Amino acid sequence: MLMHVINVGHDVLKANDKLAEKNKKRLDKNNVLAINFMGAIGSGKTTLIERTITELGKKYRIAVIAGDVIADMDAGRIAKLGVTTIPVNTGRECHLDAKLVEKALKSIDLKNIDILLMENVGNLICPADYQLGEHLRVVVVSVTEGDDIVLKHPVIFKSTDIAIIHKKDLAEAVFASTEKMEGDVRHLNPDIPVLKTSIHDKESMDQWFSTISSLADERKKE
Amino acid sequence: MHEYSLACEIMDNVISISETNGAKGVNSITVGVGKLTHVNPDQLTFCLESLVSENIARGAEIILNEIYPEMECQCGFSDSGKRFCTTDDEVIDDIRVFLDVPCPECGEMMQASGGRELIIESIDIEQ
Repeated sequence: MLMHVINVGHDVLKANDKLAEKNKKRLDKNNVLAINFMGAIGSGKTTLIERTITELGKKYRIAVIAGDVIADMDAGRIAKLGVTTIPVNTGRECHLDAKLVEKALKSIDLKNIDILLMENVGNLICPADYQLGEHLRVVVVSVTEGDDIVLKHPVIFKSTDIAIIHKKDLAEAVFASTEKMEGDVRHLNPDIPVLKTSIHDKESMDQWFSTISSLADERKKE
Repeated sequence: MHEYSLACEIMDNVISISETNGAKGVNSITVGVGKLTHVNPDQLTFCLESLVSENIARGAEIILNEIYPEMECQCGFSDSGKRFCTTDDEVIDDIRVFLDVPCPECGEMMQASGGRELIIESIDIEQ
């Protein structure tokens, strides 16, 4: 018998990133702004997406990919707002990947969409390893997770484009310092916008909406 | 579970490469795991070992190599990340070692390059 070593050099994670690039090209072709929402269970991702649709849906055509181990609950909440919602059941998976998004994109009429919101599976670990084809990675972290949550998950905060410190109105009740959380994000990723938000504080939500709408406007012009 | 699906993807590739090369069996599979991924090497090994029981790769040895990022500073300093997670007699297994480390030359925060791989490096087959 002959023994033979085959040098393979196939990178499984890079294969995902390549597929993500393909997704991005499809989105670019249709001038769609795609946002990947990452954050723990209960951080407020779904509510933030609902509010974003209610506010920005007046001006932009929005679609949503709702990823979850069992996806139809969040998707049901979002679909009530009258936007195209694709539930993506990841089954056992702890994150969305480019292949799941590629499949979901087939069910969306991209020509008639301005913004695609993708809600990742709730955790701060696995989604960090996967690109989906998004233009913007957003990490949502709530004060109720404890104010050391940022430093506990450095990889995802290194790879994000915006950090949202959510439910800031509850900070005092859970003995969390939003200043510490913001400082921790800036320490890991000095150049990104850090928004402190609460759905009960209109000004902070407006800041988020205007960040997204200016990005969507930029893409429309392109 | 993250590692299981990655192991399945690795095995799919291993099987198809083995078949393309007319393999009768697989002696070993060498996989490189970047230290900056969230892949747990022990879990990945376990999953791969359980997957090689019922196919062409039955009994294959799983060899895992850890891939360290290269730490780079704006001042021009660079060195393997391995340097920053080994002290005299112990290895610090903490991802922060690569993400939050000041440059030994100038004290500025360094950037990690690489270490995000999950590569099927080679397969040793019998033809």
